[in-house]
Amino acid sequence: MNNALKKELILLCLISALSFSLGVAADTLRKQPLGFTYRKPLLKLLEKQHSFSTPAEDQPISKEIRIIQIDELRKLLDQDRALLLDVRPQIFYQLGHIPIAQSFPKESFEQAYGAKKTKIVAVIDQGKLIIVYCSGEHCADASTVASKLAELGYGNLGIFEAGWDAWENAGLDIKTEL
Amino acid sequence: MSRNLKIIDLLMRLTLGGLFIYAGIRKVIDPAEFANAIAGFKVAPELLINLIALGLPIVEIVLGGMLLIPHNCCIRTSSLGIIFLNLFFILLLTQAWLRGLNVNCGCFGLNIIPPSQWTLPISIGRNIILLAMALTIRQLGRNRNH
Repeated sequence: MNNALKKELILLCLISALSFSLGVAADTLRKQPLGFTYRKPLLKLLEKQHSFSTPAEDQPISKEIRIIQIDELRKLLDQDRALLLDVRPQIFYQLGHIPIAQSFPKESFEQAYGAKKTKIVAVIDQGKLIIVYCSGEHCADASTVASKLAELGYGNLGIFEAGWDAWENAGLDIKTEL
Repeated sequence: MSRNLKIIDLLMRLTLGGLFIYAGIRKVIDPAEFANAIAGFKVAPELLINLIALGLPIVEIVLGGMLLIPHNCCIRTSSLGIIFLNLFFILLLTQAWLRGLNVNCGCFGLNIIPPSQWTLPISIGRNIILLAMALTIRQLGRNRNH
């Protein structure tokens, strides 16, 4: 190894060490620091959910956001006990979605919520669950939407954590809009 | 170095440096999203995911910035770093593709578009092009006099 290359490698090591130190130091200045331990989006939401505003105590609505597995989701949908919201962008909903799911893109939450508010309230009044899903377990969109709905005071919320990937990989029925 | 080579060298440095700075800034804006993308690859232990999400974008910004500085030592060092990074990214993306993972590459931070079957091959192709650019810049550096 020649001297020039050795110098460049040493410089790269220094740059990396300084950059990582700077990144970690800058994180402590954020309003919501990332911290050292990685937590899946859903875990973050579950930790946060106790701080959400809650509906009146006489309402028989669960404040817990439930994690729904694929078998339970199928059962709930078969028994018409849930409203399923697909929070991926509209185009991906159109390319393929769980048959009963309704499009509720995270990017246009206000618009989607405005259009579906009556339906959501009716579903909650009937004691049904509102279940949201996105592309997979490391996708934060479902947690974000569930979190926003919880902040709006809704209960009976569930997240189909495994999401579209799991549904598609299980070879279950899908529907397209194209 | 001839005038044409100098222009090519400058254009490639501007493109590659600009891309790395842009990619780094996007990830700095939302490190949590980048951490989710890293976790999706199912390679890094959970203890390292956040550290990578916080540090790697700064490395990208610094290397991208150094590529724009008209000094041969800066250019050669940053192009070497970018070569290492791109080799690492290509390896990471290829293993994910071979394992059939349906993930976003997270290369430019915010992942608004959910992954599809083409996400990883396209990302691998893009990284190969960036690797070729970094190798060319480094090679041209042999004849660069600043």
